[in-house]
Amino acid sequence: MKLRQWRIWHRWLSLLFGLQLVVWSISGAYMVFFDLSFIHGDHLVKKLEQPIAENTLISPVSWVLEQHPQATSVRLMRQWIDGSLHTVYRVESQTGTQLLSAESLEPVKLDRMDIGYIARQHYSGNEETKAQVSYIEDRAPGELNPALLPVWRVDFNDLAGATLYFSATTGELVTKRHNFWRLFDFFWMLHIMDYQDRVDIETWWLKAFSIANILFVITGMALLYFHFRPRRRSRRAA
Amino acid sequence: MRFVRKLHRWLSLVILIQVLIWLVSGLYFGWVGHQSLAAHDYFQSIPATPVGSVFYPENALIERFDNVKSVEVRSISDTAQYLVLTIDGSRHYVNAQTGERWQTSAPLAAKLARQSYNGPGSVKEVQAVTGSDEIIDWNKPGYRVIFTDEIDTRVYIDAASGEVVDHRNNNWWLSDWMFRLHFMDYSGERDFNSLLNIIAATIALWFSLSGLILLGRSLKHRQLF
Repeated sequence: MKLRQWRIWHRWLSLLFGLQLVVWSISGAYMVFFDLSFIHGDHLVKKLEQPIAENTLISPVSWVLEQHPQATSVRLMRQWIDGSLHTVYRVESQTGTQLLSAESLEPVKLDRMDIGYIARQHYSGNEETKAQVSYIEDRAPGELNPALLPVWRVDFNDLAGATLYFSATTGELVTKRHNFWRLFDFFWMLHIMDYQDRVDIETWWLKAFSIANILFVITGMALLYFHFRPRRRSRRAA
Repeated sequence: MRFVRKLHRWLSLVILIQVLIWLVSGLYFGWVGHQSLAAHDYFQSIPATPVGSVFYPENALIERFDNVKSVEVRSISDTAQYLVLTIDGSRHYVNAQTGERWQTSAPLAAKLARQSYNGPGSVKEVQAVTGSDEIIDWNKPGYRVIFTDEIDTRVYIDAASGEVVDHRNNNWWLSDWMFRLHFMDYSGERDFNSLLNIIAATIALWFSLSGLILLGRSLKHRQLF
């Protein structure tokens, strides 16, 4: 092929497929520029340190297991209830998860007030920031894994649009989101070309565009060769 | 426009090979998919089973370790195990029957490996190892359980916890290198925020945007034929 033909091919392929290369380079650059732990929102929450005191009154775990023989995991931990730290058992089984008072083994239910208080303890931003607490039972927003339902959603009215999600049964922080994560997720969708669920990296779009763009790059290499090839004109002139 | 064309041409000399690498490795990712990339071709998570009975009391653990954050009891292959988390982030594993530090024997490692495996093979060999070249952030004592299948699946078990560290197989090295090349992190740590990658991404961004401008100009001047 002649130089002119290669150039035409290069232009056509750039129009048909090369635009995705622009999308890849913009989305890739965004993902690379921002530190992953920042994207994950690690800076949105404080590191909480509340050891269990040695003289804490607790019922033995064997009693919990007698009460809940199907439990697959029982965890002694701390949680804020009615605005103060309590020692609780988190009991997990095939059917779900619940909290028990570690002293009385009575079930503990967390309400909106509790979640608001727990969220304040976690949130690392300004204490004055307004927050809105809402309960999500069955319809998970796109940014939340539905397996984590039911949850409390706490939206902070800050610049980053921070949202913290807490388990409705245990009050544990399950997910952190903010606008930089949301934009990352959008770019990730563009990068892997799964416009539906943003998880499938095996779409035919991705494979087809990768192959087409490899061909496109090869036409570019041909143009480079034509530009930088050793000239033999001088010999012919001689 | 001459400047844009010149920029596009010179940037291409710098970044062309890496663009090809990104395309080929990206194609590879799409081809083999998540599961194989993680060497999870024959991986399944071990189903949680009821804890059973516990003999050693939790109070003793809270006294035994400093600044205990939480104490969890769960079942590892029909034996109850305590997992103690402390404020400084360390994890302690204790046999909930005896109160002794948890230990994983070679037969138990083989059993756990089988539970995490859903392929056609059976256990061929159990080797005691300390870390592995195949697993970047694990360098503790444990076991490599090798299965008889077409990709020589290897299951790594951590001795101190009895947890499945991960699966590996013969396709792993290729996936591993594709990640290293795509992220330009040749240490194998899958860090895509490396300085080298940031520089390359910046160049690639200018390269593709200059190409976009040139394409726009070609369209404007109807230079497609």
